[in-house]
Amino acid sequence: MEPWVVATTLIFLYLVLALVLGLIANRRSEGDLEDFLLMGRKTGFIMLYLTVVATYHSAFAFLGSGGFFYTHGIGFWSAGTWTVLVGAITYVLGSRIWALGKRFGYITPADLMADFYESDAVRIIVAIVSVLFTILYIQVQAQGLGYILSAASGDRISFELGTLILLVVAAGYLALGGLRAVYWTDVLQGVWMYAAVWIGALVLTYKLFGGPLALWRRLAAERPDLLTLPGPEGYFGPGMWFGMTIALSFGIVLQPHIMIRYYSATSGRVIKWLGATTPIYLMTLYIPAALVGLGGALVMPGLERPDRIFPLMLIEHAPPVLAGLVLAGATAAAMSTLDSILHSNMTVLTRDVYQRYIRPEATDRHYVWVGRALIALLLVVGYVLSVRTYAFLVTLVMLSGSGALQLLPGILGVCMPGKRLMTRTGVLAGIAVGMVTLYIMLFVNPNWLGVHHGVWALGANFFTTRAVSRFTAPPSVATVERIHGEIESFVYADRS
Amino acid sequence: MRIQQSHYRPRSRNGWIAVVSFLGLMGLAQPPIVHSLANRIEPWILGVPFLYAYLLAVYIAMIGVLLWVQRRGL
Repeated sequence: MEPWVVATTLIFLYLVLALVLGLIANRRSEGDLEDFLLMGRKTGFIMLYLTVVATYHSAFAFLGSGGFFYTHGIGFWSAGTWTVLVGAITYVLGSRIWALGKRFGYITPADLMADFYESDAVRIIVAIVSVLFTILYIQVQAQGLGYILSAASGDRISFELGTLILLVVAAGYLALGGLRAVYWTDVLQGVWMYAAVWIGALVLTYKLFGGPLALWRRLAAERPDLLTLPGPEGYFGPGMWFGMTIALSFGIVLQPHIMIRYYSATSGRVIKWLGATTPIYLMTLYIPAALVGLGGALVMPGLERPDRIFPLMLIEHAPPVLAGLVLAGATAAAMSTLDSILHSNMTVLTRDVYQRYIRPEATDRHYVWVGRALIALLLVVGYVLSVRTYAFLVTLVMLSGSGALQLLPGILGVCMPGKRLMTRTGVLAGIAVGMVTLYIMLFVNPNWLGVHHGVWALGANFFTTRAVSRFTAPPSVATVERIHGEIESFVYADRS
Repeated sequence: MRIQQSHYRPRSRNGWIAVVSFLGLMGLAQPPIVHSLANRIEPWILGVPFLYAYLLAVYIAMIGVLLWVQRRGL
């Protein structure tokens, strides 16, 4: 049987399985909004672990990261810094976000910030930032899915059709089963993705080079420029290395689809275990990615789209069944992030916009159906964005991360009580200045002085937030005591 | 509950150990160290280029700190 038949069949079998899980999740649904959006805040450790890691690692893990190792060499091993830092952020910040969500009924990032800063303007701005920058992520994942399916089918399924099929399936099981469907499919996707990357990479490495150690020796002999910094194109200088550490740790954790996972945990202890253990999965997934990207630079040099190195090597060198299973794993990786972003955008638009300002007194059943309609709308937007522009995947992820990163000063003001209070005017001014700086450092003077654009934007944001907060009215004493008091109790009175 | 002091400062000895060790290890994986002392292919460590092995060791140590923090219930 031809490789493309095996690969495409396995991917479609996986899609059918995902839809079946969505149907079952729909039957188990309790019908209320908190169940549809947060699975009733009942997620235990194993499910939460797998959904967080599956959501964090996306098409990027299969495509973008291999492409980056291929083009820029060992510098992308900097990924270990941000994946481990994510664990620490989850432990410290994630547990506090959980505690506040549990105590005060938060569902979205805007709920948390609007409550503390006593501001509808903060709610609206946070909702806009949350949706705007994660829509870019939909584009990244959808494009990744299009590449995977077109590569798996030997271009018999076009990029556009592949993108559409996979978007429709993800939107389908989400609309059926809400967050429960997302989590169940993420459990499957988290396991499959990890196994697929490792097995695929090791099979290729042994077949083409005789094993990882032989690959390293051959790289040192033929392409030593790939094994040192800053890499062949000078990308991984000090500024970019440090900047990616910050942007791809805080920037991803603060995106709504990750923050919503914190809210959905059954206890603070689960979040702390998550923080301590998710880096093991997140960091080690880049080990086989390095083998694929660096090995690909030796055997398939000069690719116009380095992002496709993993699927291309699989189709050409791996047994058809293995190639199919790994590509189905790649599909799982992209869909696990895509469905989470569709869900989080739907949640923000339903809760922070529709429920808050359009129909505040409707029933949960009404809001669930509004959410389903929004999923359909997001599907259309995501598809249009995916097929009309083509961009380097990793760069899109960085843009997405740096946008959500601008929420950091405001969130720290809520979750980390300190000597000075941030104010709503300060937070809003900081976000505005951060966004303008981000634009300048991305498009006018890209990565000025070799420093990552996200770092510039965050620095300008922090400076502005603190400066403006000094001269503007803080939240009321009652609100500060209520929310910071809850944090103090949670962290130091062991109420997790 | 009244806030006793800033949450940016650890309040226990173990808290200080955790923060200092984690940030110290992170510093070993950041410039200038990673772009200078660690930025080499040799010496090979168990058949793996030095920079790669060095960073792997630092990452594992950082995860170790996180696991220690969780076990201590910080």
